[in-house]
Amino acid sequence: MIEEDKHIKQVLLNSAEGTSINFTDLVLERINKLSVTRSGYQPLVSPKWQRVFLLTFAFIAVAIIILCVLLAYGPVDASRWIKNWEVPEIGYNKIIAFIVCFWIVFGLNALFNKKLPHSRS
Amino acid sequence: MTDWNEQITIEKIIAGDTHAFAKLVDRYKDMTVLLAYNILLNQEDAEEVAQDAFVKAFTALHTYKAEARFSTWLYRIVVNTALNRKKLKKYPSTEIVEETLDDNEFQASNIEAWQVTAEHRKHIQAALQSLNVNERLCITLYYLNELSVEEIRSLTGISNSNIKVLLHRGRKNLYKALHKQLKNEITNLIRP
Repeated sequence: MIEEDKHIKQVLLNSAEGTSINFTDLVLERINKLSVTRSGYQPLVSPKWQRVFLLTFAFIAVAIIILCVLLAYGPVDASRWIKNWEVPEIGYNKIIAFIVCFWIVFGLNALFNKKLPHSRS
Repeated sequence: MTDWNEQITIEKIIAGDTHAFAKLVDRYKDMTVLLAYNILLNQEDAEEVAQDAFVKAFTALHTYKAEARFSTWLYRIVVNTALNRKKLKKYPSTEIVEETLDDNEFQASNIEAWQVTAEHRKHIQAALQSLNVNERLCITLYYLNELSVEEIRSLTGISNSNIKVLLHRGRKNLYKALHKQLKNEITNLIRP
């Protein structure tokens, strides 16, 4: 570094006050807090969305139960109504193959993630 | 290229040794605060930004590749964090101090032996205030953080030729401002 550069460096070094004494401690404190937060339980979705999902699930469950009851003891012949549905031509083999592939990839991904070193306590 | 000890420290941190990170913080805290300060011109915010940058660096340390210097990687985080803060927060322009110090105040022939008082600092800060943010950024990265023009280019995205212009103009403006502020031998040491 040439002499002139050193002088500018010196001026810049003198431009601000020194770093506070507890600077390193504060950074480490924040990092430790972060590590604690990370290691703790963190829900995948916010509580608001959890409630929405729960309500949707409950609605579907109740609908299925009502349908079952109607099929068994209903005043109208619900089974006939269901039997009249026109089911579109679907390649069931493809659906099953997709589900199998999905679970294989899902399992491999879970296994891979377990093997990754991500310990930061 | 990161030095060997630093690389070992980084590997320890990635392996989970949080306290090893203290070594890196201690080593770079002054430079990061000064870098942030020269962007924001506010001591309190500069410290906050430097702390944020260290936390970000810690969380992203596994993405750091040892081909580049660790300091350059860290300074990039500091610059981005400081520039984002600058965008979000409107900084009031500091009034430039017009008064000058007595010529006799600086008797030291060696700038390194110069005892900086709060008033001197105020004058330096006012001189830095007269530079635009890109000039300050380039001057700081080049002279203070000792990065090469190429490293500054990769860090800021400013072209090499522009960096050279900014360095030249920044140094000239800094000299002018310091001369105006201090009017003494210290400015003679820094020629535009």
